[in-house]
Amino acid sequence: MNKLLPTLLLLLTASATAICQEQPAPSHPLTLTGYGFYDFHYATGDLGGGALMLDWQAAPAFRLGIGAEYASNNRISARLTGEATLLTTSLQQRLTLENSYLWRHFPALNLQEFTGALQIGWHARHLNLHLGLCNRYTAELVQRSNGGSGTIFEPMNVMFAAEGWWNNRLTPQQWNIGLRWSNYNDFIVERVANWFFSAKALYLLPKNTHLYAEVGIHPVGSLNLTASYDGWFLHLGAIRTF
Amino acid sequence: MKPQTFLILAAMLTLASCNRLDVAGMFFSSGTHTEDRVAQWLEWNDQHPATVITGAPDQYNVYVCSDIHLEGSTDRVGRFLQHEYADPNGLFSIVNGDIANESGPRPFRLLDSLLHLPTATDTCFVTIGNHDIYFDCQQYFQQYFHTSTYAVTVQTVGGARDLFIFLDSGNATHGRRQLQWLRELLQHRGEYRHVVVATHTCLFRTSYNYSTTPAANLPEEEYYELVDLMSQNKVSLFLMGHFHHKEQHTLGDVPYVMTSNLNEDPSYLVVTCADQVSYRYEEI
Repeated sequence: MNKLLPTLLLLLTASATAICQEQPAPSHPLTLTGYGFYDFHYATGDLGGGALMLDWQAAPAFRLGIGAEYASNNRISARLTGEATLLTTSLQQRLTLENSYLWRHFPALNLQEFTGALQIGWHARHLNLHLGLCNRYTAELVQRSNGGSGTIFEPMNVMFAAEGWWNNRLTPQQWNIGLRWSNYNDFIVERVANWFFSAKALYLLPKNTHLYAEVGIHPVGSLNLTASYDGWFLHLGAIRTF
Repeated sequence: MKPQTFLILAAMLTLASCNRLDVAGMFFSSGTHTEDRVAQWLEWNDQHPATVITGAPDQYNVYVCSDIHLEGSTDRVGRFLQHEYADPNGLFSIVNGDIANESGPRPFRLLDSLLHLPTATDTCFVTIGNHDIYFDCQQYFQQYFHTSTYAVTVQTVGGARDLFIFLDSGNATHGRRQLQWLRELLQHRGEYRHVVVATHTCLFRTSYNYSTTPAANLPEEEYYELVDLMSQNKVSLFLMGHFHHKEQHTLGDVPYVMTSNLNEDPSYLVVTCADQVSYRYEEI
């Protein structure tokens, strides 16, 4: 059942495209994103690393994404995402259903973390909104295989992201800047009360390449109503479409 | 509703909240930050000798509750303490954070007066919770209980030594200095039969009720570092509160046990320290 459910959800997302209205085929079906990051946590220290993601517009209304990340504390992450466009308005606004799976391996205790998420998205010219739920297993696989105990199941964690952009995102722009408030990033899903505030920037270079930067802060305890500074992060990289 | 009206209402809620909800604390701490508090706790520790309980039986009980949120009646926390005093094997009790619910010194004064009744035969150790720092309440916690980052050693008649470590996670983080203090303390793990750690904030978000929905956990990186630290040092028991219900988990062979509160689901935990550490919940 544990293997069947993710498969069914991915199929659900893919089949949702069947009910979508027809859309023109994208001129650049592949998007490759790569960035290096610096992630500073006040309590536990700093991390560096890099991430690589490939998005494939498999059909006019269906996008498939894969990605991987490595952090300097030997944390390894991988993710798989399927996004179906359920509705497109005359202003090119899109309503999407996104199903994603995130696997992370922590050197601490050899822990493996599996997160499955389902989100509704609204993509407009200057606004990007996401709201959904995720379930997460944290497991000590080695210890479990040796007969030990050790699985934490965290159900129904709320995921949200609100992103505002200065320029229209739906048409090519030389540059763009935006602000984001969310409790997740490409390779981390925090519990709902631990969110990120970040500023993003894109700059168009020749050959369909954008320079990409994101800098953000990470407070903790926000919904304890006693917020405290935890850290900040910086992503620097490039996005290339093919 | 006009946007301007909404903004004015939101601003009023943020600034006032009838002294019941520190909404401004969503964006900045209205009290001290973890690092500042821990510095104060450790300074107090430096000026006072660490607590050592001697002559304890080789098997003894510790009574643990959390989230007492004292507003009016002290009946239930009073009964909790009386149960510990009445237990011939009871050694001491723990109130693991959230003494207060709102602002002001009253909840701290109420608990302190209970702990100084003539019938109070044993000590009670206290940690600070998120409610205890709303509206700059930390000063009252400090006035009555002095520190929330400290350790207590129990020496039994048979020669065993157990260590109880109390932490401050009121801001949903332990902070750098406190984690460093914890690491240094756990370097001496081999000197103790058992090590028990108590902190207010729950590490996991495994179930939902009215309390878990808004309340925060530790950030991910700290969560994983902490469970690793607990497992590497074979901590015997990790005590938590915060979410107002009972939960038990095992990760890295360390039992993580959450106590309920004393209001909606009034219960507490009895921890028995013998050759092994065991525990059971008791209803009030």
